[in-house]
Amino acid sequence: MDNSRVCQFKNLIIARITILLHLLKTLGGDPYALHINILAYLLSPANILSNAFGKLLTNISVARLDSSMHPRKNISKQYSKCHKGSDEQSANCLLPGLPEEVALECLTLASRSNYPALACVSRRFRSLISSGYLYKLRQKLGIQEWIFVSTADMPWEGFDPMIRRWMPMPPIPCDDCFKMADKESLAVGTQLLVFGRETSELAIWMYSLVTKEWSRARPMLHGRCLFGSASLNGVAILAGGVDPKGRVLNLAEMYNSETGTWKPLPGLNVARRSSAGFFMDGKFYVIGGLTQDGQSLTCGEEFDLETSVWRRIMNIYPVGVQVNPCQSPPLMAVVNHQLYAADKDLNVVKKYNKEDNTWNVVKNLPVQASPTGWGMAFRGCGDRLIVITGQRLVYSEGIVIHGWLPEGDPHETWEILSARERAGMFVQNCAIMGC
Amino acid sequence: MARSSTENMITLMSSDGEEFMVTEKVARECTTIRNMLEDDCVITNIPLPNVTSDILSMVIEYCMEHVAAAEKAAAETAEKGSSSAPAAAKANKDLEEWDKAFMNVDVYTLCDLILAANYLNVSGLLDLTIQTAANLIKGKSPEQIRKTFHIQNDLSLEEEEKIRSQTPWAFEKSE
Repeated sequence: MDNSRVCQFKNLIIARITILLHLLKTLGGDPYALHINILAYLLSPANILSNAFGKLLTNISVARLDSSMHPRKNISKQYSKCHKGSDEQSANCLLPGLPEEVALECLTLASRSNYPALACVSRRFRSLISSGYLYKLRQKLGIQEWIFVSTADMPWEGFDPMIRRWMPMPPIPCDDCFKMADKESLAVGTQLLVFGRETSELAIWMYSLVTKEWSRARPMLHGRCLFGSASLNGVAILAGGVDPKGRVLNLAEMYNSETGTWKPLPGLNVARRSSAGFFMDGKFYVIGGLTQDGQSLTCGEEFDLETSVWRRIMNIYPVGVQVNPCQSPPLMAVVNHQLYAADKDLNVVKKYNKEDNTWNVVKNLPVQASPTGWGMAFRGCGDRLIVITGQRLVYSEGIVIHGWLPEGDPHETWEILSARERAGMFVQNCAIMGC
Repeated sequence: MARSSTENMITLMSSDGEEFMVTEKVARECTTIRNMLEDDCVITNIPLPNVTSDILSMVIEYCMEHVAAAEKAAAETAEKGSSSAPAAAKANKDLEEWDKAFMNVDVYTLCDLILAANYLNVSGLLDLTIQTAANLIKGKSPEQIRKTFHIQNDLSLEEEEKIRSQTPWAFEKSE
């Protein structure tokens, strides 16, 4: 009997791990690495100590085993006990009747734009939401992605493609110089970084999804603009670009959103600016861009985070030739580890073939791209490719978010996810935050 | 099921003493039971002191439906040499519809099913039930969430007002 108890306990613990693993597989990430991350997160004592929510974690396995041992009659009692809220244990109940870990999973799977409503449910929920713990859990699972956009006439706003709701954000408390100047953006972890210039120096403003506030982020080790960048699992890589003296750089650095710190990476093989940056199959890539003399580059580089080595890939970007030095970086997007490019000359979406380093046309763009490539956004968001462009709408000039599932039915047309009035026609920045 | 006579039958006993005869294949859908069978292959009678008869019968219903669907798909593949994509897609869709109808239960039953799926380790059912519970939260107001899950509100009016004023968009109806 004792043995079978132990066996049941073991099974119970393994059960949750299998579920998470299964979930990850269906989401198509690297299941093993993420699996380890989650386990580490749930089990690591450091995390438990550092996290305001740690106390709950330590109770998770115990709570789960306890309530799993309750036959239904006892569960009903548990409901009423939690309902009263007098007992200390019951005050700790997130969703009465459910083990904490399961309750957390439910809340993690609910829509993120629900979180403010959840925070209003009770004190326990409020502290859970403000701890930021759910965001981390979501991010590890890669559940959902939000689109952040700013345009000429609209300061930053977030958009949840799942429930198709716009979420205004507070204005950046920056100086006028930053407001007017060109900016670049990048979402990393639960932060949105906006790179620009204030009167005296380059500046990075950071919006935290958890605190819902803007603050100044630490400056880069080597300040620049027109860099190639992308983020994965809470870290971002920025490579190349132009420094304030006008020099095109081969320097690269990595930002850690947990610590808010920058660290240098080995330099690119070729100094470049205005290149496209993205993560694919766990590796960082920069593709195309221009040299110091304004020559357009057809090569790309791949950075392996394990070995910290850059590998040059020749002729990866022959699509369209950048002749105008004022052109935008190549419009590239990754969906489920598959790379796509928007070719503004042919006005089509092309799909990259990893095996033989070629591109083929898979779809027309939903609207005519601008000749320079600026003013529109082309991104991967969840399973969708997203194109955001300015358009004349019913009442005013605004922006339209088009979405298309590249792995779905090829005859399916672009779907309009949202049309936002009074936003102006020019998309300045767009960042996708995976959560 | 027609071929059940040639298969091992296993008796599952619920907490309230009711016995359920199922094929080994159906029982093996529960990883917890599968592990028990692998540890000791002569088990034919398994007491499940944490699962009541009404919940256990639902879990068995789920396992049987999914085993039958998998068998049907395997049979079709064997018959035609390869599975035809549209047929497989339709079968998947049918099973999804079945799951959806199966999840048409009250929140108490749902919680009990989650606990049972967790205890018996039926991964498909656990995913399904947890997602269903998550859907009960999506797009709901704080009042609705409290009511659904019987959560007591211990926030003061001022505290609640403060949260609402921070993100007023979250409390409006979505488009």
